[in-house]
Amino acid sequence: MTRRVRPFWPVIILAVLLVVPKVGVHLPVLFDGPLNRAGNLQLLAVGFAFGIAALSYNLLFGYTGILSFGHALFFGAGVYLPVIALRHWQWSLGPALLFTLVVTLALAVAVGALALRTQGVYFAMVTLAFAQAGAVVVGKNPGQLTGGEEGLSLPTKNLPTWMVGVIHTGNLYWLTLAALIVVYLLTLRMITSPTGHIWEGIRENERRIEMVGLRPYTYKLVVFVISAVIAAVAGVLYLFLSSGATPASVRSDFTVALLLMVIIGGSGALWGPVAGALLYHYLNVRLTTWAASGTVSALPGVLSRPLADPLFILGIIFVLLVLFFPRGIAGTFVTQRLRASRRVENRAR
Amino acid sequence: MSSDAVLRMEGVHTYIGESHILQGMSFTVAPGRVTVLLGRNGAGKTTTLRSILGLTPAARGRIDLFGAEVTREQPYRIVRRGVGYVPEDRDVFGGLTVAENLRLAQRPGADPARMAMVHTLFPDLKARGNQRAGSLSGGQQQMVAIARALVNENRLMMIDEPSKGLAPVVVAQVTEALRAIKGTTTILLVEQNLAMAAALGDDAVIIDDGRTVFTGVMAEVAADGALQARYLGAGRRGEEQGQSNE
Amino acid sequence: MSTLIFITLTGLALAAMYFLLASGLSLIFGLMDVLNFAHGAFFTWGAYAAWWVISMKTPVGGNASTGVFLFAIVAAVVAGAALATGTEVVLLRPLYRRTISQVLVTLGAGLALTELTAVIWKHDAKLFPQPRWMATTLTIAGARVPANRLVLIAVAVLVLAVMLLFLRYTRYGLIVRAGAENREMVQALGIDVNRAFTLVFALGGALAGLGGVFGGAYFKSIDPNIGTVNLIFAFIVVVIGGLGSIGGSALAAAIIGLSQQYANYYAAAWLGDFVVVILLAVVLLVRPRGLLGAQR
Repeated sequence: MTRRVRPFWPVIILAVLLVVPKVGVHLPVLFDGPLNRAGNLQLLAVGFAFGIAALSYNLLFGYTGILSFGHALFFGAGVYLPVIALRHWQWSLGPALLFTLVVTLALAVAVGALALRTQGVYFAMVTLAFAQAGAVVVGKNPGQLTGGEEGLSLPTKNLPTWMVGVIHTGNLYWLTLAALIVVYLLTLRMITSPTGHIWEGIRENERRIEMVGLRPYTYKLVVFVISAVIAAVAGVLYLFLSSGATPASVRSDFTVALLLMVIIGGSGALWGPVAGALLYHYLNVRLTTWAASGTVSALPGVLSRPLADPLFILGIIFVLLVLFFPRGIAGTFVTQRLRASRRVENRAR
Repeated sequence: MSSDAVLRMEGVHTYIGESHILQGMSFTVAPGRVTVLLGRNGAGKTTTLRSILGLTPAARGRIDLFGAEVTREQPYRIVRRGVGYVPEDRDVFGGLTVAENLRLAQRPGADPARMAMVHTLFPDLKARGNQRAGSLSGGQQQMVAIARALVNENRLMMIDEPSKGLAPVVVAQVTEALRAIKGTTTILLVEQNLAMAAALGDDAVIIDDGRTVFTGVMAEVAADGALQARYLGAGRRGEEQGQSNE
Repeated sequence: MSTLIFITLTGLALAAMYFLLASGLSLIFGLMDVLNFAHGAFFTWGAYAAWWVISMKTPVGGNASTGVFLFAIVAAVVAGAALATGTEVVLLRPLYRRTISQVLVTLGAGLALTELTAVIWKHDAKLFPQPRWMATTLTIAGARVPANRLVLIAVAVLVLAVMLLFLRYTRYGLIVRAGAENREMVQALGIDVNRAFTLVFALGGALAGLGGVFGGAYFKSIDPNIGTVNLIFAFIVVVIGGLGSIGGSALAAAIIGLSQQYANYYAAAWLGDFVVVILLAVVLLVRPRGLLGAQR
């Protein structure tokens, strides 16, 4: 019976999300000021962008079972490449985006082809190393291209007006939400396709896939590249939302954040990583505000200072999740329902 | 069915992943005798041994060892009660020397005289003490694996397919080694080589599809061709090893 | 020529620090199949524990006395070992056999522990005082090398020797070697492998802590990121050297440390890190199990 009601939930949530920029409601503890204030819209929109990145990571890790520590490389490519083209070479938006797509694709194929020759631990290390190399290159600012530690700000001349300026944050919000929906549907399509089932097969038992006569390497490369490109899309959106690129987006910390998002939300259902991303970003931003608030700062220093540090809290949450809720929000809900139905089946035997 | 049975399994069910391997195993092993566990490939013989040791824990049922329940105890504790395990594929530590393999197996409080006895029983191993176990032949590794189980005073030895992958000459040597220790302890032997089983076994338990289908004496199985054909695919095993079944 | 000596010794000192981190990681992975991402946090805590001890007894801007420095080393080793033991017992044991979950939990623990140092001591770099004799420069074949580089190399060589002896001649060393090959069989011989796990983790943590002290002396200052940054290189060292091989870690550490310094000096300042990645890629393509790793 619950199954018939379930399809309605996504629609309701979607409808709510769509009208947010027009709604001036106040949600006291949760948000500062009215909901459709630029700052809050920005918060949600970045959450959506991270949601896209988390979906891409989930394709790799949750569905195909590939633990990559280099995803930040592709997200970072999406962040840096457009702004480099726009700022240094004065390209317009269209060509800049095309350039980003082509380079990301090439990078993903190159890194993937190389890294996927290894497995498990080794693969994780290779991707970590590549991401680190990328971060170093960005940081050291070769030829003044990346802006080093300061990053690059987004030049607004060549951009369409509806995207620029704080007033239009609502437009960026809708753009990001639309992108999220598209990526979500695309991902859904992919995982229900035969290829998607092979990916799941690779996660379960790669040997068996080989025995059926397929080459896991090719399928892994495909999912790696697709996932990288989607991450880059998220990066591009993030670039617009932040009006600039900073090295923090290429650091391995970001891949850890992605992992956190997938773990929090759970890889069981598609909406899991998205929920995880929103929750992660929300906590990351709001925790500092809470800590400065009356209740927390009134606590003794021993408690108030750690609680004021989002990364520390997130680390603790991560540990608790892995220990007690390894399947995340989505998983804990989904598995319980599955377990109940299996119990009924077993009794019937 | 005496209460001083060395090992008793009752209604044991074991899963490996989703596969239901043991589907109600029940049998006992009497003290001082050699009980042979027979059955086709995939019947669940190795899983039975592993369930007893707790390496592949039983999901349901009960396992009693030396009169105490050990059904869900940790493997190292079960072994410390006095079990010597010789796994299928030997599992000697290739990177360690022969002497180190034996020393590792020696439990605290083990009688040093037993190590001396092992050296007498397997003079070849004593000579190769400093050789890397990984560089030994299959037969020699099998001797190491058996010797490992002998350096402690074990009340039960569980041996899984000692003749597997070995040349007939070597199989004869292994049979002799086991014959030498028969009587000093209780042995639960898994063996597809019917000739070897008949030479060493006192009692027999046949398992099929994870269930006990026959318990009795070895002589009975050796004489009953129909029984063999039904559960063991008899004749094939002996021929594959280059031996006849008589 | 003197520059070459200088860079070589600096590279070897860096290698020594990597080795202290990598050896523990390698053992842990060899025996437990766990990628310990909390290892960097043990290093960081070692550095801060030492710094804290030193700065309490040292006037600002002055040199530490040798006695205080030795005490700081003890503090660092104890901090590393304690944190490691705690991590293993509280976080890893409940996740027995779930390797991916274990890796993830070390990631979270590493994050929280590292961040804790920032919470307590803030993000800014702290000057790391050392004994005067360590800070002085010696002239070797025309190169002026700080003594602490040589101390670091000596410490690493000593650790290498002790570890090899431990693995070869002690019972626990035997258990660790056997367990790295076949954990299950070790259990089937009646040995409690879990105790070996805790021992190896504690040992790794102690070595990481030791690395932290000397890392502080090498870099002359510490900040909360010091462990995380070097952890990545330690991982690369472990993979290139071969997971589970101490000798491999030593060899790989030397190669990485030297390559980094040579590339940084003779090519471009950022090329050093790049070269390391290239080395990793090459080794993984040509010899996936690492230089001295066992076939898994």
